[in-house]
Amino acid sequence: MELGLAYLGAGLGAGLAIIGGGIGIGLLAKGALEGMARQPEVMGQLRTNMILAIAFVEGIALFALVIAILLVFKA
Amino acid sequence: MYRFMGIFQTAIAASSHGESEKPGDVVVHHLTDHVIDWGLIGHINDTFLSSKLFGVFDMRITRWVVMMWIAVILCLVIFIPIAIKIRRAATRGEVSSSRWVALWEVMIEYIKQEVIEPNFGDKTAKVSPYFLTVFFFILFCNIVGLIPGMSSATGNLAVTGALATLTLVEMIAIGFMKHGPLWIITGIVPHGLPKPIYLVMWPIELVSLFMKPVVLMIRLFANMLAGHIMIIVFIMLIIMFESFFVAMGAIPGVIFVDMLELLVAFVQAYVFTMLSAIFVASCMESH
Repeated sequence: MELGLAYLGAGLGAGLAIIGGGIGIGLLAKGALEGMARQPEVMGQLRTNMILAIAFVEGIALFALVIAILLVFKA
Repeated sequence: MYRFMGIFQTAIAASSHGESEKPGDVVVHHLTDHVIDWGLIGHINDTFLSSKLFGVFDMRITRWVVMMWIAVILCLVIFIPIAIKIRRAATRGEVSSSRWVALWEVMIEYIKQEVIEPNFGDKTAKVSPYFLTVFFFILFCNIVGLIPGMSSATGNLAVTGALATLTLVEMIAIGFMKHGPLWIITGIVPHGLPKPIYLVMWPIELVSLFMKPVVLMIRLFANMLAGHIMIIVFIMLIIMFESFFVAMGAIPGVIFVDMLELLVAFVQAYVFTMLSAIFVASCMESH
């Protein structure tokens, strides 16, 4: 029973944590695309900074993935 | 790292011997470290390094150590001739006109202008060797991991932990050198606060000082590990289902994930270097 609970916790945890990551990256992309539509000449800079911010948001979403992997491989 | 033919051979050999190798075992085999036990390195492992250093540290040469050596050798072989060429052209008073030098100079100048210069100002020439070394070492470690048959040396907590520990040591050392031995008590909290808020803020700031390199470590490790797990899982899908239709869908998926991993390799090296520079610079100036 405990083994099954560990796997269940890992799956639920990783899945729920990625919701926040998805929403965060979507908001970032929305802001970047709106800026690009207003001012097409700064498209390159906006793209670079958007990818940088996506790396931060994805880092946070992957913290939960690390905990889930720890759960699966230690149980 | 996706040992395409290697996974095929492992699965086929295991099934022909009558035992079934679970997919999880093959995934774990490719993600963990293995001591090299063949050839000259295996001989060195068995004789010189068989006893633990100080009785605690196991110093045998494993696969990740060899990957890190490959990244270091790439760094040396690429950058020392470039430095010689630039210096030789600078003594003649002109800029080197070779395209190979220009390729690496673009990246070096980008890092210096975007990462080091806004944070350090006039001390750029003194600190840029360290940050450039960290950036190119992490970059080459990540890229070497994408070649089939090799594994990424930054995909474990030990290597990224060592890099983050370097950042932590730098932060504390620069704080002590710039602000004196009482820096820990007075330097990490912003100035001009009343006493009660000071007592509340100080433990928070101390924990945050130690948390910043830990977060750096986990970010780099998780990004590299997640990318490699996705690649391995896609290939294992083909072997588990043993049908051509799954392969038709999985191979484009693997190619797309591999391209994404290339982008993530560059971005994560850049983010690590940029955050290291920001943290060290924030400890250098008084708040």
